[in-house]
Amino acid sequence: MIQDTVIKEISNHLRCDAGQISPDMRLDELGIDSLGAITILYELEDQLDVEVPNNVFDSLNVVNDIVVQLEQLVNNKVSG
Amino acid sequence: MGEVFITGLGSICGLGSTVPDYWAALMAGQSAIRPLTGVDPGVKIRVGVPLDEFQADRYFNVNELPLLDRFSQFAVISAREALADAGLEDNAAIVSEAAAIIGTGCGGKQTDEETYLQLYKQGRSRVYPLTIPKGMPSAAASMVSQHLGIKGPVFSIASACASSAHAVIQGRMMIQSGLVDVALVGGTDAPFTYGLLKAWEALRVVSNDTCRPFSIDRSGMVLGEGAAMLVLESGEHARQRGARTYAELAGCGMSSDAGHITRPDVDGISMAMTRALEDAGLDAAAVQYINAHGTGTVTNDVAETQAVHRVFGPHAQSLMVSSTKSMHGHVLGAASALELVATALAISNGMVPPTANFSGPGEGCDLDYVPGTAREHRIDAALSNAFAFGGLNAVIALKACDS
Repeated sequence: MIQDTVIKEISNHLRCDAGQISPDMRLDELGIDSLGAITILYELEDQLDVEVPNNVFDSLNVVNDIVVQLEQLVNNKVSG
Repeated sequence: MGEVFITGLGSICGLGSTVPDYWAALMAGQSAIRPLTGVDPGVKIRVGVPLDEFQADRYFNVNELPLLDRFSQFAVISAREALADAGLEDNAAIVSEAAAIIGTGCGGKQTDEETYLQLYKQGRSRVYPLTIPKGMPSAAASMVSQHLGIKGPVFSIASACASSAHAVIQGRMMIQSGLVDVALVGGTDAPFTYGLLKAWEALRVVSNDTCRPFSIDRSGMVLGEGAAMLVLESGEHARQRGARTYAELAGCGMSSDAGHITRPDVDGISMAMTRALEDAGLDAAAVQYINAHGTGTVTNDVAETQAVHRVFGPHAQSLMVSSTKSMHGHVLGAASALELVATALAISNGMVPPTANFSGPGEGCDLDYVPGTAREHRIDAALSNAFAFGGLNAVIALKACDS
């Protein structure tokens, strides 16, 4: 579910088909630099109503890193 | 090209409201980074170097304040100090012919944001009539001109965090071209507004505890506010009137990365340093000190260290390289002028300001960053680095006057 949301947002950012993005792809392979990642996360934070802390941001290198991080934050929000 | 000297200094920042206070704090290795107070709870940035105790009415009459945004107030205060320090405050003949070139990264944001708050949020339909002349990015330059009687070329320069370095360079070029004998140059910024803080927060480069340039656990930059001004003077003019000189403004190097909007480029910043050395006629080995751009971000500090190695070769290991941003914060459009004041004083006093908060070298950071404690050392030549967002680089080389 969150994986779909993340892939959709990345495909919006890259203006490409979501089918071209898989969870194991590196952000730099996709041509996403740090500013691109900030922008994508900004949109996802809004959609999911969570905040990714700055100290986690630098370790988000693969699409799935973002998925896992957002799943954790969303789960914490529900259980909290 | 003719010689240009620094003959007057002025500054106001979180370390002190005058140059002597600023220098004393730098020599004590005293960081002014502190928790932000009175900031909207929605702002996640927790620390900065604001001028909390600043009272504008100590410096200005009530009838002067309606036209003075906070960034203009700082500019006028430090300009007054610089002219007085040069012994020119009562010399209308010289001052009226001078240039004033003032850098700013943000402009009069306090004025703009107060206006937008009223319009967009409070539903007002009219705004304060002086909003435009008070908030325009060139307002500080105009206010400096008006308050000090400077009637030569006056304008503002914007190149983000290199604005005041570009202003210094522009003033030197005007003197060397023969257009003016004296130029007041520097920069100013007052970025502690709600909108700007939220914008910096979104960029994820601001630390939430402190600024530790070149350190293993560095966590980003810390914002500061204030202004710094320098009086530049042709060699002939300075000698004729017997002016005291802090240092010779011996060379300048500019470059643009033409690349990434925020990530510094080793090629671009190396080129600016090399050009400054060439312009000054300096061998790399003649330099003892670099006042680094040293923001405390992961990317800047590694790129700057790599560039120093590339430009200085084996001599890099003998250089002292410190970031005073660890103490006064990143004052954006005022940063490079504030740091040039520190560099000029390092030369004239034979004392090198330290990098505060240094907690051990980060990966790829292997220079002598003068950690913690100021160091006594004769400085014959020094560089002051400024690398702005947008890839705009400006490096200034100073020489001791007796070298």
